[in-house]
Amino acid sequence: MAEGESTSEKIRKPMSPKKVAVYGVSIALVAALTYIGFPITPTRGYFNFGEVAIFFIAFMIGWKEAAVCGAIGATMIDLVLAPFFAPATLVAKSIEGALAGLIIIAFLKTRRPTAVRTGAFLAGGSLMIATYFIYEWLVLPLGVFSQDVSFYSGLGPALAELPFNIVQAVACGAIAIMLAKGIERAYPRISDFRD
Amino acid sequence: MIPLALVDIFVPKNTLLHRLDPRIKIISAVLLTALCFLLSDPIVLLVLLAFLQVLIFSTRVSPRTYATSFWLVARFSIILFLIWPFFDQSGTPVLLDLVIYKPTVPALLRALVVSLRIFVIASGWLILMLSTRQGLLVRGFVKLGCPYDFGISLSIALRYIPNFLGTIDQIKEAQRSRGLDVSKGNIVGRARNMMPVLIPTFAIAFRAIEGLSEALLSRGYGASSRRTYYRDIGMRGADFAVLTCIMVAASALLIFELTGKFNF
Repeated sequence: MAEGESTSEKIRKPMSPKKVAVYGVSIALVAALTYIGFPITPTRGYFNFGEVAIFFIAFMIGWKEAAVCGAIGATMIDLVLAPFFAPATLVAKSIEGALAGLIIIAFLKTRRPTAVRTGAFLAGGSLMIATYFIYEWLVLPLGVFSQDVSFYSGLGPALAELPFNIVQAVACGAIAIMLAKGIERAYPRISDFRD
Repeated sequence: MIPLALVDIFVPKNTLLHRLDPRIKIISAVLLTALCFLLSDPIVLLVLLAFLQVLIFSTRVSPRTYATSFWLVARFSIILFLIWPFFDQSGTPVLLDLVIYKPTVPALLRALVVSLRIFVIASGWLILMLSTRQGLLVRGFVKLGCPYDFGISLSIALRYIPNFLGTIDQIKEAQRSRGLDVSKGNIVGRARNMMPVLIPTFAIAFRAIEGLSEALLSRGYGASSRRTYYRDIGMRGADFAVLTCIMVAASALLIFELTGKFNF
């Protein structure tokens, strides 16, 4: 066996070159769009366009790609800018992308793609918002609550960020829908990327 | 806007931390994050934070990168500390009584614990990012069990992030010269103004996928099931020693936390 080669690598069928490229570029796209933005939120610092890429990948490519690329791309940036959010981001973005993508697949043959895409981003976005809310409310202050301290004590930061997360999910979802329409027209070969 | 250089904050030096196997650093960062959620003693967290700052400065990071890296962390911590007394008003003594805003010493201590926790987690990951080259980081993940083809995707992503950021800037400039201002207006307006920037960015990204997959094929990707590496990483005696020290320190901290719990 060659140096560095493991048994699991030997028996596993590798991804196709196209899939490798899709994952690589999509992760970079999510990371780049998470990185650009403008400051608004009191706690997290900035409104970012990462969700646009996650929803777009869910709409146009597939649920697995949206989940993996969303989670990795956004976490990569969080690890540099706000590492304490990284565990929540990993979970929030993956379930957001997966749910949005699964809804798209379930209604793939529909004649009303905009309605399905709206439902998909609302469902995925809601899960993302809920994940961050629970993380900030219950996970970050883990262990500081005791019998005489209500677990509602940690609600402050979670509530402060909630409206901005809602605006971010809704705005990015709406942009992703417009973007999907625009790209379908400007670059019809995009349909070749769907699983 | 956060400086572009922050996407890759690796400091190219040859310190002990730089020489450590990336797997040790990844495991330590994950372990530290998990440990932070179990530690709730402010003194333990403070000592841990001080030790981590020593490690961060041992990577010879510039004060500017250090300050920028902790800017968002500090901002979040300060806001958390200020908002906390709105919902947690238990305990005495009460420092200020403004009906709905009643900060008490125990509540502020709890806010301090959460803030310290945030700083410790940030410091742990910062050490990993400052002392590990991106290529080695990916190699470390592959060695830890991440599929190698996924490792290639990660490498491609790391290579393309600065490219896309440059492309977005170029498109913004081009659209600005046509009269589009993406930096003015409210959230919705500014977000909508990004559309003429996002459409070409996505089109360029998907063209890049086509080119990349052809490049991978032409370089023989997937032609052989036998996977070999040009440069491999291996654990040395020093790596095992550091790993042992980390495990012992983590266990000691946990025991100290469980036995000498700070009551507030």
